[in-house]
Amino acid sequence: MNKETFLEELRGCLEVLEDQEQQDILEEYAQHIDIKIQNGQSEEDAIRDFGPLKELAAEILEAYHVKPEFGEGRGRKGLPGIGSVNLKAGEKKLRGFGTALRNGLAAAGNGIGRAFRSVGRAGKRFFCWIASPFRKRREAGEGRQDGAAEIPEINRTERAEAGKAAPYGFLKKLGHGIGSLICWFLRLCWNIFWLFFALCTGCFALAALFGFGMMLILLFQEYPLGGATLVCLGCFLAGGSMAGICMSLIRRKEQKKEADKGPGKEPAEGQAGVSSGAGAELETKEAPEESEPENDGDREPEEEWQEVQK
Amino acid sequence: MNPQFKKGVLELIVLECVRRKDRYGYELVEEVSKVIDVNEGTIYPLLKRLTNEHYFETYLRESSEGPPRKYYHLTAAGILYRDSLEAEWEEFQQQVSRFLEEGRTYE
Repeated sequence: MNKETFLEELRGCLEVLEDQEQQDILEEYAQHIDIKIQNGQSEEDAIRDFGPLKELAAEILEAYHVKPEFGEGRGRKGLPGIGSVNLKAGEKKLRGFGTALRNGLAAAGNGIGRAFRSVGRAGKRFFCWIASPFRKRREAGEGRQDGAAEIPEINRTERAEAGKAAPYGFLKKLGHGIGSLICWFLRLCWNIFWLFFALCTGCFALAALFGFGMMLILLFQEYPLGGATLVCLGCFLAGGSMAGICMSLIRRKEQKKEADKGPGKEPAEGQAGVSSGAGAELETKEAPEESEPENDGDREPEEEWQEVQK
Repeated sequence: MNPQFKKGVLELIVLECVRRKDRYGYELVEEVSKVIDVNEGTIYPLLKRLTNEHYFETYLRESSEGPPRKYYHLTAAGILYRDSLEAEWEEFQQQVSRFLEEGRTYE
């Protein structure tokens, strides 16, 4: 028998002891064998001096008041060391599996909770979204401070939630998907309504413009149509600004890049929102702002919505 | 030598060896072997038992010839136990000797 085999078999007999104790005992025997080898003995001789292994194991276990049959019983099985090792490995695997299962269930539960929370958040966002046009008109006059304060808060909470949700990405995405689908649909309705309204008022404004032009010509032909001219002008400006507002209320697809331009554009829009009477300024301000979105696909009317969403 | 004799006094001899000087396993086996011929396998279990019963303390000391060695040291309880064992041995030995002495007169 060689040293390794001896130590393995001995360890097998001592399975009942704590790992630290086993280690202790085996180390001492290993050292003893090593010193004897150093002094010239062969491995075989060194181990033979220990006597029969089972008796040795029984005596060791005596020190711990363990029943002697214990050591013997293990020794009788063909290769006790290996059997016990497999048993331990199997136990560990089972325990690991149990832990993994528990963790999985906990994660699933958490994920479902997060999915529901995402849907709730989507609903909350929807209400913010509906309310925002009104909020925008109110706040426009007060300036950007409130908006700016809101946004970092919302960003922080969203980011924190995103960070926490990282391990449960899939379920969160699912909740998000449902939420965004609902949002998209509602946004579509909203957009269609305001588009239609904008078209009507736009047509009205165009008609008024035409009438204004006519009146102006007739005025120069010294018809007493000063009042009518002014009326047409007023109608045109009112219709135009109404159409502009309706267009601005339309929510298009978000793009994060546009958010950067938000702070710059918002004040302009805010002022535009307030001075509904100042048609000319509105026209010039709204028109370029509105024509650009056609190209970029997303603009400062979107900003507050984007920032709220973010 | 009769193994039963050896087993009886082995504890006493081991305790006495360690009382004289802190020793590690191999060294102790050598010392005890000078007194009585003993199976090395039985020394280590005995050391383990005496340590578990707090008659010995162990500590590691670095060695130049390999890994650190575990040294055994007699505790106060160990000293008392050794003394009681020696007293028992004295009494036992005297009784047996006296009995054998008496036997000689029976020739």
